[in-house]
Amino acid sequence: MKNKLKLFIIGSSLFSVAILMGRCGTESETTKDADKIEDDLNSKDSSINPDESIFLIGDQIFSIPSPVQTAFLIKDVGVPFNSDYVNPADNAMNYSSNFSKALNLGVYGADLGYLTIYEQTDGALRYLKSVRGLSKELGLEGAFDEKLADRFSSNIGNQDSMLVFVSDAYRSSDNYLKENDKNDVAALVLAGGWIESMYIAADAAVSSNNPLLIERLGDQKNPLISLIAMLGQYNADADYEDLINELEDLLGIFAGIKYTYEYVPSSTNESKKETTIKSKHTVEIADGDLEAIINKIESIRTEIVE
Amino acid sequence: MKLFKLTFVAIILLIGPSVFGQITCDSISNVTNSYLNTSEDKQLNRVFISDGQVYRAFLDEDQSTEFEVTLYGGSTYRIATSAGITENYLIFEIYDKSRNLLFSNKDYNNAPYWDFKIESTIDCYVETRLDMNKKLSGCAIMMIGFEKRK
Repeated sequence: MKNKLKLFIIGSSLFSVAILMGRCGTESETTKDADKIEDDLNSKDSSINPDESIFLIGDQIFSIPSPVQTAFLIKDVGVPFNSDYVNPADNAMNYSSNFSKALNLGVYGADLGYLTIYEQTDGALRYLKSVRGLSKELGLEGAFDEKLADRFSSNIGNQDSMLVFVSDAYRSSDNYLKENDKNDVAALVLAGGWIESMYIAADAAVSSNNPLLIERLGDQKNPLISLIAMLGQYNADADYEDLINELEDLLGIFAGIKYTYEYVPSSTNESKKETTIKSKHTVEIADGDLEAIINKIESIRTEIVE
Repeated sequence: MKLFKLTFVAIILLIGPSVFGQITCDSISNVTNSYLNTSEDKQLNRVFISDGQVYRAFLDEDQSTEFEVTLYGGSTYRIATSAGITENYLIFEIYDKSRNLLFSNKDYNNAPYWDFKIESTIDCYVETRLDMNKKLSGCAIMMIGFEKRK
């Protein structure tokens, strides 16, 4: 009986190992003769195969634009810094649930980017403290550790480095959360960052009436669709449901925006490893829709930060 | 006691590969990150800022992963990919929403990173798959950065 048990354990172990090696991220590499590779590469065309299976581990992949990039646009079009646009740093201690902590970690990340771009160094250091506090409470202190704070402080005045450190820290936390099956938290951080970035852009658009900022708001339809789908994967309780409902209402307003798209072939400079994508796109937003979008974003953001 | 030892060995055998898989995926992430800011970029004073996300999937034979991304007009993006120590395991392609192919790194020896100058904002699909001639399965990582204007 004991021997049978031993055999069963060994057999099951080897079987499981075989499965794991084949399926779960263990590298199974096949290197072929270089000439064969060249021939095979040349023989394949670049069209998409509609029968090819799309495979994802766990969750679907979604891309949400960087809040930092929108903050750059706000500065580039000449809108002056406004401290009223950001969530007060002290509010960080008011968030009690993991849901609101994760959302506001994203909010503060967008604020930190905004402050850094406008070279508000004292404010940026205070916001970094809030980010670190929330990240610690969410078990993400590894991404926003003392080392990051030191690197950030010692590079005050070097905007490039500061932005790279912050973006890298957010990327590290995203990586950590995804590796540890906390995709729901990663999604909330991204959602908070997107909402705050839209809030700042909306306020800046109101104050400046700048067409590039208005277009940027109009260009958020697809990111918003991705955001709703991403959050929908974790729609586990009333908090998620409320947020998704609010975002769906916002998406409903985007239905009134007119978009045009014209495909133009891309051109590539191989030596620079650069392709210019030349397709044309326009956005036309009626004043009423713009106002409704701005009001809705403000209302969603207020719910999150208060 | 022997049974205990056997069970222990079995557990190690069971957990080991997944742990090593994790480490490998982590190191692939570091490789990908290095493509966002290369030594050449430093010489040219170019800075790419990550969008803060790590796009990851385990790919097996004939499988691909796809996601939508919005690229803003007037920006330059870098898309960096990796699936292991060798640079050119991954094929990535960019399509517009009408499925016009905008770029394939297959045309450039599966280059692990490429820059995209965007004239007008575009919503597109990024599709990634392993080059079956080089690798049959494994962790695939993609990162996106945008260039900070000088």
